Amino acid sequence: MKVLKRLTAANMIWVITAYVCLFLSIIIQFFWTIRIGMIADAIVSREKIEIKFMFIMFAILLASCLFIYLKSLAGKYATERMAHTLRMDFAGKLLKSEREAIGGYEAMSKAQNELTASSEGLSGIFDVIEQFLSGILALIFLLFANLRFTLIVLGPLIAVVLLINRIGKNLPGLVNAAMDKRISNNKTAYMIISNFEAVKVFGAEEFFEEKFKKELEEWGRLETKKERISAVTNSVSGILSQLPLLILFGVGALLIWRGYMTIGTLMIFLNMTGSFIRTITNLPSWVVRIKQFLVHLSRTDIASEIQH
Amino acid sequence: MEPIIFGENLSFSYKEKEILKDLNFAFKKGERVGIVGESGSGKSTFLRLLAGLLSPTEGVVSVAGETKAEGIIKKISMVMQEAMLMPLTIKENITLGKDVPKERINEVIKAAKLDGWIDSLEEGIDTYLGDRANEISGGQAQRIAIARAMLKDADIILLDEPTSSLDKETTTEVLEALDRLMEGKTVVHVTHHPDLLKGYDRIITVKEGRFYE
Ligand SMILES: Nc1ncnc2c1ncn2[C@@H]1O[C@H](COP(=O)(O)OP(=O)(O)OP(=O)(O)O)[C@@H](O)[C@H]1O
Ligand SMILES: [Mg+2]
Repeated sequence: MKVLKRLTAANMIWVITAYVCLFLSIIIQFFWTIRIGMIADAIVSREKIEIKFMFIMFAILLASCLFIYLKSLAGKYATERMAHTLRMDFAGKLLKSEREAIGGYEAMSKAQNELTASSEGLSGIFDVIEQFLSGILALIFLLFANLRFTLIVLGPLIAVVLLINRIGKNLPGLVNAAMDKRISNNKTAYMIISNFEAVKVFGAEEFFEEKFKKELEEWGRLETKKERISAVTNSVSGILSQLPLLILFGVGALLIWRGYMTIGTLMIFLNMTGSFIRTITNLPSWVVRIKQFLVHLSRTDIASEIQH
Repeated sequence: MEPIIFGENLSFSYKEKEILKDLNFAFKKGERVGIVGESGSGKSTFLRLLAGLLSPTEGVVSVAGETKAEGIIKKISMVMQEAMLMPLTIKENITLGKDVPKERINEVIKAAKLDGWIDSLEEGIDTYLGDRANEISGGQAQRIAIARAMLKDADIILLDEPTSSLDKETTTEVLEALDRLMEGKTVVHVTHHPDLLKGYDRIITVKEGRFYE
């Protein structure tokens, strides 16, 4: 968290711009969804659609395009700047340290892995926040629009989340173990290269090959296990995430037949719920991702402290 | 007596750059040979040829009856300027994965004067040198490298400035360990310090790719 705060503070203007654009682009999307619902209602009741209405639609579409563009531009720029700050901080510390540039293979290898993982994580985090925000805003909208209807759909959703959460429980530990193995593989490879002559003179090729193979196998084993669990998690969550929609359709159809709801409103609800469902089903994996990212980020600090 | 190391019309080039030119030499078994010369003159290159780490561009190099690099490398032991320690335990750094009886390991540890320090470590010889590899002193590192070389027990010892990165006091300690390593062996020692070559049988100066004695 410390590192993240520092990175954000150093690039405040860009971070704020990115999030303002993000917020606006989501809100404008909502307007679009609502208008589409209104058109559907007009079609069903064979009303005439006014030219003015179409103009507004067109304006919303333009604004939406503009903000999606601005959001992704500002987001990428902010992310890149933060990653740059991170790398420069690290390089600066390295320069200031008394030791030779290579403060042990382990420290270097670790720091490089952590830096790469952190930079990748930074751009991933922006996507996560974007989806999370649009889900939450959708929920707020739904609660205000029709409290009872929303709550009926929410019930099964929470069950789904709990279920997926249980299946994916040992995933974070595995991911960490696999990453540590990768670092260790890296280390062995680097060790052989930088001590090539000693390895040859003392006939240690086999020893290192064996070591490398063992580590590779271990990593492969962890990676397969990880993939297997996430495959199960993903397919189960894929099937289960359809369940609330089914409920929504059923309840919605009933309400329309009874005249409590229009087709347009149901369309809006489907769209908004879809956005919220995505958020809820992905939430556990996002939490894991963010946690991992924060661990990597904090480790870049540890890695640079080793140098001193 | 047949020389244990000899070269005939030995030349070596990195790409187009000729480093060693048409060398003829012969070292007898048990001889101590010092190699001096300016930086970049080709001393390390020469030693790598004797070690089987490089092969001649032209001519022949013969070491303990071997003329192929794969054969030569088995006959020699080497200590270089850098100790080449790796993120392994002290023991693994010395044995590099070979199955060696405990008594033999203790023997080389004593001979390399590592026993006092290793006894003072909580985990002794199984102490992991990972991140600590840069915490141990240059002298300790170099003595581990010497123990490693002792274990191989080759008849020919090649030294490439093994003390040049050490300060005066540690140099004395490392030299004592080196003396044990060189006992009864044929030695080729590259150095910038001629005073380390006292009592050597021959001193060769490398200049512009040729030998002067
Ligand atoms: N791998 C290589 N590729 C190309 N040229 C090299 C390579 N290694 C060394 N050289 C060149 O060969 C020449 C001799 O190098 P060498 O290391 O043998 O010198 P040296 O006498 O050991 O020097 P020093 O006293 O500085 O250790 C140098 O000019 C060096 O730049
Ligand atoms: Mg040299």
